[in-house]
Amino acid sequence: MGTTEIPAEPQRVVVLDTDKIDTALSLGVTPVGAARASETELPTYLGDLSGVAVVGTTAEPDLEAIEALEPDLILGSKFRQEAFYDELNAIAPTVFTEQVGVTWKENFLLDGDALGKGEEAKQLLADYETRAAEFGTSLGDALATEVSLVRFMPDQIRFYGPDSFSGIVLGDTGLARPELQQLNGAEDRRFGEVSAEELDTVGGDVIFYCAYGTDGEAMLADYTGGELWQSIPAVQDGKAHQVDDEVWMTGIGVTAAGMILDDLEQYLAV
Amino acid sequence: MTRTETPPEHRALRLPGRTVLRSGALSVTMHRRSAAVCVLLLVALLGAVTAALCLGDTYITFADTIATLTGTTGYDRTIEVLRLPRTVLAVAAGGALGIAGALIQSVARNPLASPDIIGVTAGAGLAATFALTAGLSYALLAPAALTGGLAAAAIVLMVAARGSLSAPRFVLAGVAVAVLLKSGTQILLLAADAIDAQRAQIWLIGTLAGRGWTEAGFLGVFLLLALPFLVWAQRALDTTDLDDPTATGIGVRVTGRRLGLAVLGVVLASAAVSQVGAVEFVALAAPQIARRLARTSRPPLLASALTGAILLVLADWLGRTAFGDYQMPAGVLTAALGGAYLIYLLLTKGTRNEKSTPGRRPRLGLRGRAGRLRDL
Repeated sequence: MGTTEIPAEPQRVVVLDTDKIDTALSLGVTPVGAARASETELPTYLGDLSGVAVVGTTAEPDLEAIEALEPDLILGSKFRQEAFYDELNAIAPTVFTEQVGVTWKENFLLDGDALGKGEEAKQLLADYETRAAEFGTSLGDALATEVSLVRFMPDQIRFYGPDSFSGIVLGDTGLARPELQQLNGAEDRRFGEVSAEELDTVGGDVIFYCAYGTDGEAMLADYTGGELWQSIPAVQDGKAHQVDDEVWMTGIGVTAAGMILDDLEQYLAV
Repeated sequence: MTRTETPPEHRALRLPGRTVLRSGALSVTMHRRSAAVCVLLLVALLGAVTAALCLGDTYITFADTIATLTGTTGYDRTIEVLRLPRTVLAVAAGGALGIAGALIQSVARNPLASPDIIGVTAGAGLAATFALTAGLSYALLAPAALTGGLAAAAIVLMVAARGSLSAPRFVLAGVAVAVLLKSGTQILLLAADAIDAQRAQIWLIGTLAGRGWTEAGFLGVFLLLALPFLVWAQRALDTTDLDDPTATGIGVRVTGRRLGLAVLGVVLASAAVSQVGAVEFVALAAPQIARRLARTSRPPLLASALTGAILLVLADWLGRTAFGDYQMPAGVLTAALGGAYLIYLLLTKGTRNEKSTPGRRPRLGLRGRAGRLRDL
């Protein structure tokens, strides 16, 4: 989207996508403003964010609210805020990453550079990857365990593939995935949809499931209470665990990745 | 041009409520109430624009706003980047939609006929939804929408033109094509990734957020090019009220004239929608509001343009200021504002007018409209 001059040590940062809240706070920078996802409020897993002003939603940022914060750096996603680049860049130097999720590690390093904390970002990412690999090794034979990821959304039920954020974290540990969820041969290997009638086909020895927003929670309550869900072997074995959607799905950052590892350690450690 | 005493021999031709302006061999009949309404609407539009520039997260006084527009103050960015471009775009797009609605409603002789109903908006919407969900470059969004709107209009006109482009046929063809296109859009939305679908849905509602000079410039040039045709349309429209045999009888080429007016309408609507998204109801409500204010038999063009501009400027301004940090797309509010005002006019002005002219055929009120609808 062009080049931009950014201050060496930005002090007032506005972040316009959920992954960038994680990135900024992971690097010890508390943003002055953040856009929220349309279905939810600012994430809670990152601690107290009461000092962070909400500046609209990720799809419809409130430009005047951003301007009023007098930021010196704006981090956003081209994918979501392309139409607003000119206005944003007139307010403060604006850095966009291209995609969300698939390239979360590259995004983290780029945003880290923009925040003037490139070295710290590299170190944090390396630490995470080491921890993920060591956890995988510690599992030994358990690596053959197929891990299933299911998300209840307001209008559909999804499983998540190897190119999704949590899929990438599972990949870093070396854990196995059910055949269906490997999305082999698919162009987009982030996620697929599973119909409500075939909910029992999601597969996996262990299932981690979560819900997006309050409507998703209602879906989750409906379906996980149903016979079909209860007939899944992993559910009967007590190996289906509800996890935090903010951490596993919308978090998309090194802190969220670490917390996924926490969950895996809790439920899978041998 | 000066107004002179009407010579005695012309007194018999004097039209009620109209003033004839003469200058040499040229003469223009002017509907006095329409002219007064236009002046009032222009004042209202200036008021709406002033509100949109002064009031927001930061309050900027009228004096500071004027100073910013003419020089440099501390508010340059707020006014010149964040508020002015989208407001100018709202004026241009609202005006274009108002004119488009007036033209199409006049040709169809039906107040329900507007670009939103007869397929133009639906065609643009389908093309834009495709562009957004198929991952096309953002730069292709507006051209795709423009093409989609024009293609849909071409199909409608082709279907309707088999058989002299009669008013009811035009509306029915439009509704049928619109329904088909909308179902196509729904299929694309359901099949798309949720985030793409969300972006498409915002486009389908219509918003001025993130848009500005580029879009306003495009529309400005478009309107300028359309100006000569609009001058022609202003005169040509007078015959659209006549029934077909009468018009043919006085030597009007009914189909050709109607086709010309309809094409002008759909082209303007497609251009506006391609820049701001499928903003609904401006093109439907603005001409009807203008017609009721001016008390004319068909929607007046200039007053419709001004009403459309006011509606869109107000909708955009309220959308970005009235809901806290939530930025409400303008399209949500055009329907709310326009709909509410039109209902008010239907409930008050229509009945009052009928009561005030006992014994005369009601030209504006509910009965007049019902009579037209029976044509279908």
